[in-house]
Amino acid sequence: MTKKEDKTQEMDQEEVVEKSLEEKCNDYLSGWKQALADYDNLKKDLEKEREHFRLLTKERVASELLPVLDNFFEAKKYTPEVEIDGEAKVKIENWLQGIEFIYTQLTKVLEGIGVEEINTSGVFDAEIHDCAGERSEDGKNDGEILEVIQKGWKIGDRLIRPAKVIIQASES
Amino acid sequence: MSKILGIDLGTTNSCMAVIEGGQPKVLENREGARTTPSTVATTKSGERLAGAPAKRQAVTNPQDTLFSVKRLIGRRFEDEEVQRDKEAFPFEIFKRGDGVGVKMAGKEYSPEEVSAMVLQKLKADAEAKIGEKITEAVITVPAYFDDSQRQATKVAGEIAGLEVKRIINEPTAAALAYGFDKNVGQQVLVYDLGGGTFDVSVLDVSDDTVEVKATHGDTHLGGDDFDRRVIDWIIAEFKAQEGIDLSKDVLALQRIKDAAEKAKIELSSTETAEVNQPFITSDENGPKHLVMTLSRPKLEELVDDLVDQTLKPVEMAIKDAGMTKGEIEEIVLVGGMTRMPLVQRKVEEYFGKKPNASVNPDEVVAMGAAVQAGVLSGDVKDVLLLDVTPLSLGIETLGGVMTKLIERNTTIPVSKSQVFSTAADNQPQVEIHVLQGEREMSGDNKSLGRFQLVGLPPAPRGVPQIEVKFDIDANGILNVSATDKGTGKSQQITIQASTNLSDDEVDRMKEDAEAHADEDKKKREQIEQRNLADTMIYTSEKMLKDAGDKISDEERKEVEEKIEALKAVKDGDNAEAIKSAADALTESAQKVGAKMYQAEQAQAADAPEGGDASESKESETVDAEFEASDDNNEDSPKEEN
Repeated sequence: MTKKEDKTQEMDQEEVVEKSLEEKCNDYLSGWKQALADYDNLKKDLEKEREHFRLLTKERVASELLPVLDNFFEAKKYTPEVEIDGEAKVKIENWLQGIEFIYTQLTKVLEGIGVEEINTSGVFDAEIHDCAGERSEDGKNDGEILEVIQKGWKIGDRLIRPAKVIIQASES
Repeated sequence: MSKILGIDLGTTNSCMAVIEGGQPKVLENREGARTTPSTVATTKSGERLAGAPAKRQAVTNPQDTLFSVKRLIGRRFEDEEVQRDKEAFPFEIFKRGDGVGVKMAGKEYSPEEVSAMVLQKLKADAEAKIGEKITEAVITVPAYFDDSQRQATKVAGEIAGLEVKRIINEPTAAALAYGFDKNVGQQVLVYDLGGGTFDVSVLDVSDDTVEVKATHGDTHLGGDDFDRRVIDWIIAEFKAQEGIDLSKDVLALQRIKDAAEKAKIELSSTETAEVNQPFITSDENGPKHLVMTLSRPKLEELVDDLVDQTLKPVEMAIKDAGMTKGEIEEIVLVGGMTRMPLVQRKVEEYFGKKPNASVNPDEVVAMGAAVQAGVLSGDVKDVLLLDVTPLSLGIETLGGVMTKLIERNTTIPVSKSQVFSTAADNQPQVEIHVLQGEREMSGDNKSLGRFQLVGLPPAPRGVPQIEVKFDIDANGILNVSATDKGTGKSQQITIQASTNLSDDEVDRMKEDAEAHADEDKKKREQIEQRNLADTMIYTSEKMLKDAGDKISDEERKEVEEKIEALKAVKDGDNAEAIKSAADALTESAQKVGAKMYQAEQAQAADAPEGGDASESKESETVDAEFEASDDNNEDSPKEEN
């Protein structure tokens, strides 16, 4: 083997080493970039998650408060007809009015966090209504909502609770 | 590569998950729920519904609302199960070829096609959620499913446009979610108590398979039975109280049903639950309210026999597997009902070991399916494994307390720093004692090394700012440095072996910490109390010195007496005594302080430093430094923030 050949081989080897180092470098660089990108995306995801979590918290609070509202509503339905006159009547009426105001206040609080009542006029829609039963009434269309047993609520597009309704039984 | 969806296709509810960043994650459906009712329907207007909307219109459209088709899939029409369901289900079931067919809105479908509609919804919702197309899935089936039922489930997936990469057993998926596949030669029992069915399976985890050795169960025992007991109890109680039978009142019953389920769920985390349904009904005396309290013991009494019923299939499954209960190494709980403390307790009593319940029992099967999907797509393997610090790292601070800088389980590489200060006036040096472990007191933790930062210029206690920085590189090599921010003087130490503890060692240290948690906490509080007392004595003495003749002898005497009183108790073990003596001193000192301010409101108070040699000597025996710099309350130095 001549000296020249020896040298070329050495250079070849050097090249190989260099190449494999370059490959390694590229590997590491791309891994590093990947890690940085992952981190960056994680930060963005976290922001989204946080937003989602805020929404969930609202929904949670709303769904805990809604039964209270239901019962208020129920209580109002049962308001007794008082057969008294004079001072006692005025006192009771004023008191009742105060209770009404608390109901309104609670409604406003829920509105404040974006809670909206679900529309129950017209025909049953399984996307927002929950059918609790059916019956037949004269002059009503198939599937028309006859009675709301429990109000339904949503925040934006998100359904918190479907409205429980009784609907007109179909002819067939 | 697109993701493979893991699907738990359940009898009443389904759940789906994918692998994200190496971890299984449950995907919410379009309605925002983590589980989807396995219900489909065709409305009278011909619209096809799947999931919650289908379930919500079931009452008005029972013949055209299909549910629980999992009970029919892959079965022969003559099967006993099918014949029983044929009687019970409101929709039409008929013989179709060798198998079963169902009718919806006048059209005939196979159970596979119906299951496909549920799968289609899951697929579409998952695609919307992750923003990419999904074409492949892993679907779970009960361990007792035979070949034909498995094949039919696979066909359902294909109809839905999913290539089913694998059908796996539900109990196997649960075991995968817990990572039990990594411990070869392990015997695992999966206890699955869902809404309507109970399944128990014994698994043998071998090299690369998980074999179901035996399975048993009760197809008609689940959460619904538990609810019924609570409903019956509420109705009976109300009848006893008010004399009104609510079981005939459809609307009241609806409310009671919801309330019963809510109370049952609440009692898994609380001792008592209030059932509060005002205006439930009315009689001639006006409205009646249903308000009662259900305690956990009462609930447990109501359902005790139901839980006991589950233990018979457990016993049989173990026997069928040719084992004894002592040979079961791990128990996994699946199904929402297993959240009930009574269920967990009975299972634990039966086996004499704690069952695994850390993964959400409603989601554990879907998560396991996702894990399997991840393995198939290589997602799980491709992750560069990052190490964590197995134990907390910190330094010793005043009173022999360990102050943690890096909490255990922190992913490395990581760097954290905190600023500390001196414990005595004119302290010339601080010693940084690097510790590893979970105990509160430094003496109970492992010492990794120590070094001193010397040459601090004379200054009152609490004034010097010494930044201690912990830096762990990707190889687990810990570098601790301390820098005096005033002079810029710095010292450091490198510790090679901060993460390479054996698993046993880590476990032992963690267990130790848990076992001593209460006692350690007490000790730490006592030391904090003592440190507080020291500070109080120091500031009071300094104040008296500064006050000179601005206060009367009596006032001075009062404070001095209180200081002596505190000094007498502060090194004892009675934390209460230390606290009351410190409080008494604070009160007197504050009085004097207020007076001083009044006296010299106009004057600028110049407080001379009391630096004498003897104090600095004493300081050498003190181990240094505390008071996080971001807490600027000079009156109450804290050892950590």
